Amino acid sequence: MTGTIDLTADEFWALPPAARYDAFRTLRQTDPFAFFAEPEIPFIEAGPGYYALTRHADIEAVSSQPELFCSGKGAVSIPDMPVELVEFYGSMISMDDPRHARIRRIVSLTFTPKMLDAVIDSVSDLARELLLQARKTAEAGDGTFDFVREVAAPLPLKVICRMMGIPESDHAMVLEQSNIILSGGDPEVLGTDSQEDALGLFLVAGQNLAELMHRLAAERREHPTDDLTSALVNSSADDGDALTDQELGSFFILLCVAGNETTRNAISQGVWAFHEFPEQKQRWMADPTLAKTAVEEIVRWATPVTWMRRTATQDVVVNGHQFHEGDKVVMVYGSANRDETVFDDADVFDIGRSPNPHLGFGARGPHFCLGAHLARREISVAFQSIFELMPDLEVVGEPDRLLSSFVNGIKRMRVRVGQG
Amino acid sequence: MARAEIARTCIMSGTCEALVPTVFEVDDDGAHVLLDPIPEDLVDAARDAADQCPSRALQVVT
Repeated sequence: MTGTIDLTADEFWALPPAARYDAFRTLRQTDPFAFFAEPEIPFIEAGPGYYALTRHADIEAVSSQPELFCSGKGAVSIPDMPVELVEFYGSMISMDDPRHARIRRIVSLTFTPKMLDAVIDSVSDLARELLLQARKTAEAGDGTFDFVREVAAPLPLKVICRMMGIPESDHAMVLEQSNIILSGGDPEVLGTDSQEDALGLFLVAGQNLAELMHRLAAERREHPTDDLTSALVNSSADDGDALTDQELGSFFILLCVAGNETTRNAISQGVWAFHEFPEQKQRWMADPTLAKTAVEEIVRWATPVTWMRRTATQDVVVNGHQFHEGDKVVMVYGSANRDETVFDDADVFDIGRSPNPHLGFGARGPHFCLGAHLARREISVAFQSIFELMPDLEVVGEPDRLLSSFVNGIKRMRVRVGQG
Repeated sequence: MARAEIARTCIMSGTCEALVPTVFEVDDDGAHVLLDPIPEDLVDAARDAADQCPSRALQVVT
């Protein structure tokens, strides 16, 4: 059976979600350390292949032992990329301690819940603005609008840009370039079928984002404000440590990618989940105290980032499986979050689910999502605003999904308002 | 006698609560220490939680 499942094939990721979740279940139950050939990409020599970990317990074991399973060889790409690229695009997500710990420490100081309070207060206003504008767009046309373009995409993007102090005039560029980096090679997003062209676009996109931050860093060193960029380059750390221009550029790329597309897709996938499970929408609207568990369930259900990679640093046995030094290990969070040994009725969307030890923000360990708090608040506010201002929102037809193994994305989702 | 301290870098990952729910609780304000000092039989578990804290905000001191 598992012989027909190939997690490397584009065709697999083009399958309807239910078929992918069925395949994950088969892997969990029959081949939890399944081995696959690596995807082929231009200019990079094909590597030895990788083990796909699909069970919750195995992913927890790998993620929580960073000294045995490192990130520095790459966390977001299965083929080994040149180390400069890995760090440029991945920042600390693709680093190990002590370098990872240093950047994380500097960033953590500016990323605490208290520091984010002001930004979070503005999320609600932003969400209202976007929803009111979207309703106008719908009313001026056929009563429908693209939920991703009008609401789910701009909300997290504007939150991040405001946090970093990026001028309004650059927001569109940031959205466009981060879309390219996270396109997963989807030809429609890139506007090209050629893998060589795609690589070129990807490199330029990173450069553009980094250059924007270099410009902003210079300004904020000269004239600090209360934004995150000022804090990062002028340092709030006790020892006076701050990010260099290059580190700031890479961190911003990480933020665009990790804090933008992920939250966008959690919100979009959440709207789709409420379409598939309308009684859950009624339940939350009737009982706002469910917000906390509802947000966790949306993150479990959406699992916006499908996997992260680690590499074995030595020969090691994990839950009975022998790994050898250099083995590539892909932690398939999308599967772990449907693991029937951890979640009762794992394929049911239940906004009251508790406990909910999902791996949507990653598993335990030093790389756990730094923005989990921000994401939770954004998702919570987004849905509360939708329920208040657009209780009549209805999805029209199937959403268009991103063709990507890495991001569980929705490109477009037409919704209707004003039908009752 | 061991005590837990939580720094302002806490990002509320919930790791400590997941590992040692009798000692730690995470709510909207961050992580809180429920038992001070930490009972003898839970000190090792609390140290493990500190090791696994993703923002290194949790420390167990004696």
